[in-house]
Amino acid sequence: MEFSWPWEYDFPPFFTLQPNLDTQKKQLEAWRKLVIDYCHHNKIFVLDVQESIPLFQNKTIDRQLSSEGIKRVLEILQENNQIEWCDKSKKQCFVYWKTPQEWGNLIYCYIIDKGMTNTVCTFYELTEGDDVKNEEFAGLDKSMLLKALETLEASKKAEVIMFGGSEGVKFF
Amino acid sequence: MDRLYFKDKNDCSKEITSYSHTTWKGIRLYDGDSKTEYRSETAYLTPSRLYFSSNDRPAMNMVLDLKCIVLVEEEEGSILRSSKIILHLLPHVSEQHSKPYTRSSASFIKLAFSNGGLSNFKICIQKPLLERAWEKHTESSSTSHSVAFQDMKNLIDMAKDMVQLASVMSSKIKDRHGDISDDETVKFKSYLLSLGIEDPVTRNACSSSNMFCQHLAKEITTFLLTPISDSGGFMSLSDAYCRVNRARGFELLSPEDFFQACNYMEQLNLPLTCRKFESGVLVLQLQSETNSQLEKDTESLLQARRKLTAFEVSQELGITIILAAECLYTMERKGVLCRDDTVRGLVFYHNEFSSRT
Repeated sequence: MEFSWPWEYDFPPFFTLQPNLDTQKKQLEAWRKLVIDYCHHNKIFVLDVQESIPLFQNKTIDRQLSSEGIKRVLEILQENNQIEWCDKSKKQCFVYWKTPQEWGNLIYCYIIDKGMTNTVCTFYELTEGDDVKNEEFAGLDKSMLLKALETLEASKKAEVIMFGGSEGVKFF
Repeated sequence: MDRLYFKDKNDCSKEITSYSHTTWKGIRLYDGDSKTEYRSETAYLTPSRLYFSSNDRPAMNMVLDLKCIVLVEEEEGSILRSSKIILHLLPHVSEQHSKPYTRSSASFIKLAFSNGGLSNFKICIQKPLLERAWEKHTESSSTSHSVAFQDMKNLIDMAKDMVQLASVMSSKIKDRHGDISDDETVKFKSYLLSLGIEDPVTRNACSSSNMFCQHLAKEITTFLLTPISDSGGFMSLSDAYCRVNRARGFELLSPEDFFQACNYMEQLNLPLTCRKFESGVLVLQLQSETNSQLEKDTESLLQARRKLTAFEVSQELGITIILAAECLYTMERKGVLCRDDTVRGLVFYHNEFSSRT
């Protein structure tokens, strides 16, 4: 399904960082939502800032958000805990269109549904297996999965283990 | 006596004839207190020299340069001795001329007037000593100095008259405050300004008692009311200034006077007022005219076109680009408009961020 761009995307001023702060606030809010929705739709778990340029430009109207503008948008996302920088270089970030907790809960509910507690699953099974094809967490980025499982570990609902050279998890 | 020297009579005659108007006969010369052989000299006084001639010396006169004289005194006589004039002299300086006395120990000479005229002589000798004409004949730069100072002196004398005239006029104006028409005052001030003289009447900052500023404010308003109304209720201060001065012709206003007068308008409840935009641009605007009319017009324009540049606004509404831009910025600040800023230029849209959420 084609991603449906918001009305702002075709509005030229959307790509100019507004000097009026009230207006800017609204503008940045629209950008925040756009980034999250876009990543959600395209199942983007990790965003590379450089490669994200297409998101911040609209070739149809020949407009592009400045690097200053992009910076501001990412700042807003971080303030909302919707992104997390992978490292200090700030070249890549995790995009939490679902938070690790939300992922954790989703996975755990699935496990409960399937009665798979007290069994061990590999990471592969959880994310790439045929059984999970229709689940939201299918194709989940490994780093994201680990974060999700860490939250479950914290609430004693799971435990990450290594066995036979693979990584797996046991649910309780 | 060693300061006197001999000079050929022919060389002296021209000077004596031109300058010497009084003669003293029967003069006896003393070297210090001692009598000399020169007892019957005729003295001639010129601006630079004292000549002594005698029939005993048909060819030569004796000359004393007046610049040697340091002091002139009168020695009072008694029964036995006549009154004398004492001429105290500068020390001897070696000269080329032949002299009656090569060396003398006395630093003064005395003149006895057996034929009278001592008092007259005493008076007459003061003038050349004061005027020191010999200094004018030297070729040193002191000549040009005195000439230059002479010019300066003349200039100062002339200026004195002008300054006096100016202050007389000023006080007349002050006294007749209000009776003299302000146009005359303006004329007078412009004359003074052209002379480089500051007029005390307008020098003070505009105070409530300053009629000139008040009158000027009214005059500007009357003149500019129609043009400003026609151009959207605004005019930049520089445009206003140019227009007013062009109309006045030669009675030009200084920028300071104009600015002060404009700042006065609000106080006088005139229909125009001076206003400063955030960017620093100064305008004269119609008092009744808040921004609303201009903004309303811009708003209507935007409805029709969906987006606007300052240039388009200035063209359509007949106002300057500066004012058009200021209007757009103001509307942006109010959140009515938002901007699209690219290399192609600055364009304004309705603030759909607000209106569409």
